[in-house]
Amino acid sequence: MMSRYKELVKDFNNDFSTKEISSAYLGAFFYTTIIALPLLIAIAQIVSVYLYWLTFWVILIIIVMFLLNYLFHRLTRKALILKRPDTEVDIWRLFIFQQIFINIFFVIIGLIFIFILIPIWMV
Amino acid sequence: MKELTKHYLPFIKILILPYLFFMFILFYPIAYFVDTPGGITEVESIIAIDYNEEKEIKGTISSTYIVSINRPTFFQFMLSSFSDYNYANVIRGSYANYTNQEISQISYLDKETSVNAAIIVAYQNAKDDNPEIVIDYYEKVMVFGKATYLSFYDDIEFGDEFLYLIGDNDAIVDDYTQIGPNTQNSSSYEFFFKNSEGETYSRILTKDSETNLFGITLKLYYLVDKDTTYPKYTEQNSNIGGPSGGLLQTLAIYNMLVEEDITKGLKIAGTGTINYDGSVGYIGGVEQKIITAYLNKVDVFFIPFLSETYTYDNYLEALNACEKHGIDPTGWLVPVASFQDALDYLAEVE
Repeated sequence: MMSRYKELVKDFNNDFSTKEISSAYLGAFFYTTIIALPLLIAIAQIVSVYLYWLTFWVILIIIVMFLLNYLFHRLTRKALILKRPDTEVDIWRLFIFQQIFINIFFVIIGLIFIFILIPIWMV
Repeated sequence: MKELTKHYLPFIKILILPYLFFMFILFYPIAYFVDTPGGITEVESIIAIDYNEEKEIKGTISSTYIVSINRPTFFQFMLSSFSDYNYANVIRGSYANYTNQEISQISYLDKETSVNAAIIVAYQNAKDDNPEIVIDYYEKVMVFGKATYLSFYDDIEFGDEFLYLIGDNDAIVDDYTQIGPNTQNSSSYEFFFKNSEGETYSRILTKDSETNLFGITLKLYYLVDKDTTYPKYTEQNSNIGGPSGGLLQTLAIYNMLVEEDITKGLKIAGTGTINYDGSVGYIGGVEQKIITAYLNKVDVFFIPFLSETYTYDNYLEALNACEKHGIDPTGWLVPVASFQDALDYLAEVE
């Protein structure tokens, strides 16, 4: 699996210039942030009103982070395809790998919140 | 970025107004407060006493907190209306004039002084059976309230210590109960305070022309002298403010000091302020606290019961809350008027 990932990264870097990649990531990050900002503020406010379901909300936040991660990569892919409609690199397959890594990170952070940080804060 | 903007421009144009409207309701505060159920906190996680460390405590003693949102955003206010467990109303009284930061300051001052009261009452009661225990405390008069017309409003902080004032005929008045009789001849007097950093400062306060008052509320507190008190205790920082944990803090501290385990393996929670004479005082947010206790499946919940005829008596409010939410109060909701009542109840538990 890792060799396939490395192969995809290599093809990706060969096909797109650093400027194209960074522009696509920046654009996707900008629009994801625009969408994430009210969404996360709204969830924070839901948590404040329904604090007694805190663990449930943490799980929901993890799921929302998964969706935002998906959106970010979807937008990045769109930006790259708009730049190079003729590209032969399987960008989405590469991004699936990246999403899995990032989602594992979100799950770890969520578990740290549920089992360590929340019990410390709720004192 | 340019490609994305160009591609999604029609969507952006359609969504920009709803987006701005949503942001508005997420940030616009309204002059209400919202109380929602919170949780229970084991007192042992806040206060530790260097004593009886080998003693095994089988049950738990927890204070109950609710979430109070002062000036919620429009979105929070709307959310709160979706559940019967929440209570929203207009901010009234002196709190209407305070900022959220000031309300928070008062809440933490209440908490701090409540812990001191709990320690004094618990140590004094435990001392009756164990002369090894020593409790010393001192008096401190602190700023507890400020009216909008108070001179130097921003300079005087909640919790600052009142030292004295220069009254009529240049008399030094350090008894806060004698301020009125000693400030009759003029409208302005020099007050001396000590702030939280230990610095002494003075301000000339002028009486309000309408109310003829200075606009400052002072309150006498008894604070524990940590140097001479035995056994030593440590207090952890807490995110929860307010005085309503007083009774349960007193019970938990008492349990740490005495030989027997008063919990008897029960999950004990409750609410009520504690007074220096061991009596219990009323608290707010009873309905949300009852729901919190119910959701946390506590075995015993102590609640102040001071008058059978007062409509807003906490116990009567709690019974109404139980009826409203279909909760059976039998066997776990215990009315108490004092710390001793709670001890007596636990002593009778098999």
